[in-house]
Amino acid sequence: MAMPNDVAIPAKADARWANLVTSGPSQPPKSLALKFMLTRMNQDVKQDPSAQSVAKTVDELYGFFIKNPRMVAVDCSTFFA
Amino acid sequence: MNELYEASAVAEMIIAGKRLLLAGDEALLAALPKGDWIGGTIPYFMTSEGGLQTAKRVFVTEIPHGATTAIKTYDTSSLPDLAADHPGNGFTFLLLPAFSAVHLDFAKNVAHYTGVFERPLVGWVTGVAVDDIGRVQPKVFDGAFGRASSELAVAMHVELPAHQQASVDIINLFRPGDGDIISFTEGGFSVTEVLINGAQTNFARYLIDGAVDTQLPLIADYNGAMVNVCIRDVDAVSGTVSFYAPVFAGVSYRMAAPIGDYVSSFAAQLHGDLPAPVFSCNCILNYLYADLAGRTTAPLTGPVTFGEIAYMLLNQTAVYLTVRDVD
Repeated sequence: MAMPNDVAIPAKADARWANLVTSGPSQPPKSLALKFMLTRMNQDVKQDPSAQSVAKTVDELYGFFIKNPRMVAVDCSTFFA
Repeated sequence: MNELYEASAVAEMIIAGKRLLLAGDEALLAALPKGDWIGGTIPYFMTSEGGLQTAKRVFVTEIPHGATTAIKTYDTSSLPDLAADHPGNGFTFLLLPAFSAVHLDFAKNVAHYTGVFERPLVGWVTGVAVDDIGRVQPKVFDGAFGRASSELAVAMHVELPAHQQASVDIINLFRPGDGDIISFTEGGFSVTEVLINGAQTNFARYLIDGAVDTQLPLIADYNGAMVNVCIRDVDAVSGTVSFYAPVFAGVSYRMAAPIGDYVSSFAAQLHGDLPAPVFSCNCILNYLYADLAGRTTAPLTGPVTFGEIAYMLLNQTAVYLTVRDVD
């Protein structure tokens, strides 16, 4: 899916999604919602690092990007440039 | 519109059909006519002239023109589904009565509420005059039904036109100090045990023996957002430390570094291109500890609160909501 600033959202299988939910972003997101959501996801995956847990969390994060292209546009270009 | 008004003027606005977010004394809010408004109790405000305490006027925020609104109340069983009640683009404004079950549930669990991050969630925890804590219950008001509650949360879901986008952001002047790393094996609004650089000890004893300034919050880095947890009480006898927001297991905290003059530091944090906020609020602890009575933090004006909501429950933080036109 193309973003408003023309940075495409990678497929869910892209390893960068799993990196985001396990290790967090390499630089802080601009969106306050993403700062909080990724922190919660990082904590969840730290508590349960199973493949199933990671996959479920990636599903949630990917779905958030798909549903909220305006909100994540700047951060999408940072995470996936 | 973000100012204090006489109750009679507020009543006229309600009768005229304005959609309002209100803050003020319980007796003033209880006497207002039914209409498209929600409100919460508090007698402290940041105004364009400075901070002040009054029970004689009501702080009014008007919902932007072109928006549509829906008001709903929540208990602990329905609050986790809050986000599902919003129709689409816009924001949700939430009021929680301090010390209630919905306040505690929100504080502990909001990050796991379904869809809670999908649109701005902003609001505040209602309160009372500091001298009335424990004697008077903070309340929220559902203006549509003309009812007050000290147990329920009330929300106004605001839908904006497609060409507008709401954003919520925070100003937290505190930064982590360079002291010990503080973590907890169990979270909550009170603890006894703590891990100091990984070593277990009693938290009250740690704070007392170290003569730690407990007007400074614990602070954690949430991917770039600095989140405070303020210390409410240190009980040397029971060894218990209580907080105004929960600490969470697995999160690394430090005591915040002292800040200089709050007002000048606050002004330095304001972006020059900040659009006029639709709504803002600041914390009662900033008001008290930084002595904000008579001092201004404009353009951020609004109620002084017992907890700030920007998606999550925050402490000692200013929260503001903006709405801008988008392509």
